[in-house]
Amino acid sequence: MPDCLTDTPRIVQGLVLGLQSGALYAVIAIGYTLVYGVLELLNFAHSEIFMSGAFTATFVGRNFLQDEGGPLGGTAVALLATLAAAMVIAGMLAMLIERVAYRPLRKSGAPRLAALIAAMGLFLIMSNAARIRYGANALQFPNLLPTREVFRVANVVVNNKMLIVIVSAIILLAFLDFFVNKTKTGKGIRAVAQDAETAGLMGVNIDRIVAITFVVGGLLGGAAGMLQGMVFGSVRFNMGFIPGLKAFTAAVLGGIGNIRGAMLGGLLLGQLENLGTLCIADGARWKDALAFSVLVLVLMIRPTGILGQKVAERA
Amino acid sequence: MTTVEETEQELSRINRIRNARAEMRKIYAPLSAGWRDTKEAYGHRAERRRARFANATPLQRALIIAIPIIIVYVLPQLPFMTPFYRTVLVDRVAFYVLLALGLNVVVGFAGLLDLGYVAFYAIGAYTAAYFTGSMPVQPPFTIDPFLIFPIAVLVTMLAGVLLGLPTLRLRGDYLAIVTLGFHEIVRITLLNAEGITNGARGVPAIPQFELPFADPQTLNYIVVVAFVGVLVLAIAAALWWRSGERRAELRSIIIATAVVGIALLALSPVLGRQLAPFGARFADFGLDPVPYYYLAVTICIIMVLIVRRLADSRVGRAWVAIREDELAAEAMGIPTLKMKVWAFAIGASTAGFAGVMLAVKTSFINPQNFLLLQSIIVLAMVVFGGMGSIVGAIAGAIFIGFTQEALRDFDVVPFIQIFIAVGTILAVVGLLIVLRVIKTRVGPPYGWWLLGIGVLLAALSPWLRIPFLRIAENPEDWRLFILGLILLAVMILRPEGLFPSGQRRAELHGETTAADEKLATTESDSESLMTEGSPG
Repeated sequence: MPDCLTDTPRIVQGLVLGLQSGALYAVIAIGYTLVYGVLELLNFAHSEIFMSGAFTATFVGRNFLQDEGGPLGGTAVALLATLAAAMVIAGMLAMLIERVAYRPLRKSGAPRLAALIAAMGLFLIMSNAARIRYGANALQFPNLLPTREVFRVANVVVNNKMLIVIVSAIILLAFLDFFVNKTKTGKGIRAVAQDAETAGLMGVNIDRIVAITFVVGGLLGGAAGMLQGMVFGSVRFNMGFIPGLKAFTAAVLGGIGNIRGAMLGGLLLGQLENLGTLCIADGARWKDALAFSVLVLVLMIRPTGILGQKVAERA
Repeated sequence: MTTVEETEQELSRINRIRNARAEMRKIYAPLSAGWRDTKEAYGHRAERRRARFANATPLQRALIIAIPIIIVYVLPQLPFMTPFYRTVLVDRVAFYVLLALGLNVVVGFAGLLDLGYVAFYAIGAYTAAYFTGSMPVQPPFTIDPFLIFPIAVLVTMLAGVLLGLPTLRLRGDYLAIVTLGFHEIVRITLLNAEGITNGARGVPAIPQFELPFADPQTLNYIVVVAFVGVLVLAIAAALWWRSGERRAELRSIIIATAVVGIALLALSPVLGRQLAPFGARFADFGLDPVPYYYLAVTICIIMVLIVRRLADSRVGRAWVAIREDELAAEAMGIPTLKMKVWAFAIGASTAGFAGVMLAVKTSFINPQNFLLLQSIIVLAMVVFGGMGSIVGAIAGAIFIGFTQEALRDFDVVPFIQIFIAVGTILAVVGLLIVLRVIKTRVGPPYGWWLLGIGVLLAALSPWLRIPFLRIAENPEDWRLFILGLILLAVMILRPEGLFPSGQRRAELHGETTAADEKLATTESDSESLMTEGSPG
């Protein structure tokens, strides 16, 4: 057994941190995988929806700050209101994007690569719009909730933010799972993902389903953005890029198009990153390279991802 | 009675006009064919244009090929080319044309979505840095930068094969994410392996190209002769390779080569040292961009020839088959994995070539030169111009390369000039469309609009100082924003790119063929009407 895996508290701490980042990846990855499921499109702009959620949370959250005492109306209300605002704005933005960019492309029967390039264009537009408007420097996320240790077992620290992130991620994912598998709209999403044309013939309103898919992905992306801002205490115009890439990786790892796969992929990726860095000297700097190496290895062994059955036919 | 006479008169008038127009067409055939070649605006015309090119005489075709090449070679000597734009021409246009040509093979021909293309660019550049002994790790032997080209091509090709062999069995988006991951792995390794690559501080002082000939006159002569020689050799090889109809085209390429060579030779003494295409500065490459420009352009031209031949070769046809339907291709006995790895390796080695030039030209590289954004930009160039189209890849690289730089610093290109330029372009395009619509009664209806908006924009530009564009602290922030807008607009308005290859377009728009047929029928109807009406 390598040296790094003998220090139990460090490993457990790594597991907890991994759960936190993995939960965030999972929530973002849902947005990628949902859209991929129905449109077979890599929505590059999703990372910027995440970013816009974080910015919204920052600006809404500032209004709750008071000179003394806790936030206006209590911490729970402030946090929930910020979260709700981030989700709503991000969801609306996702719908807008679908409406303005992807729908015309879809209607004109454009090749899939064209949609991908359009997504990259949107990515550039959104992240640079944030840069133009708010500058290249990080903005401080309002400190609605001071970091506080909740419990500590043998040097393993769990603080309130970790708990909030993990619990909210679980709630969101459970809700999403229910929505997709148990509701009528969810059935529509699954039908369109399986075969859009036939679903249309069966009376599913494809446009509506696609729009709803984007909105759901946007809601989750916005929530993840708010949680990320809260954990790291700052937001920046390019904050979406790396988490977006990782979440995307997580979605592919779990099998893109597969919702539970995205959750699993996200959680796995979070663990791999945080445990892997323990074993490498100066590990934090190699974290991203490690994540992508794992991805390449997994795909070589299992080309459709861990849970995936859908195979993309062409680029 | 009068109506019949009137009709006859009208018909003979139309006929006269037609005859005169046909004469004009004959006279201007080489020019108009050349113009149309860069203007593959309409799918059904692309075929006709190709037919026209095939029917033109070898001399006409030679002119069509030679004129753009001469323009490209004389370009940096033109008076409006400030040092800034010469650098842009090399760093942002010539290198990117090369990259786009290589990526076009991977994405356009073989249909493999490669999001990590710039990783090979980085590998090429760092290979150059390594073998010139500029990195902290010393190579077993240092060599002259020129000799690094073959080594870098080999290294990047090997990297392409190594990445391709395990990953090219993946399809579509999985391949995209794996190549993206590969890019990040390469970049992070370059960034973090400080003992080997110097990390974020980058590799400084990479030596320049040097030529052992000091005398500029001899050098001019040698370079021109070498250039012509290389082209003729490449063509001779191609001639030997293919036969039949292609021979005629190749003959015209040879004539074109001769024309270019003679023109360059003639230009050197006439225009003097300052204006000679291969100036005296060629002997020591130094930091002057012009020699690099000529080197890059020559390589691009050779690359275009190679890629053209490849596209029509057995390998190229296998790529198209794989792109269209991999399973069917496999069933037809095409070794799909091998062919895909070939596409990857060829694309990678092109990037490696460009990487060496970047390293030597800038003499300093660091991982910041090879961000994922660069991959996206190169891909955007290819898709923007039209996937699978060589003209498209070049046009896309030139357009996006220049736009990026023009947008980088608003003080270098003042707004007024941008508006005048854009307005003029719009007006010219609009005028051409309007003329075309008047002439043939076929064509898009927005010609007048373009013309009007263009004229207005150009005329009003002194007053258009759009204040909101100045809000940003740093005008450079607008660069990528506007690039994104352009990408989005082009994809929504013309998803097949600006200059789509005819084949690719037909594939993408199965439904347009019907419309084209209809269009063609109406045209031929009106023509046959005229022919019937003509007396005798």
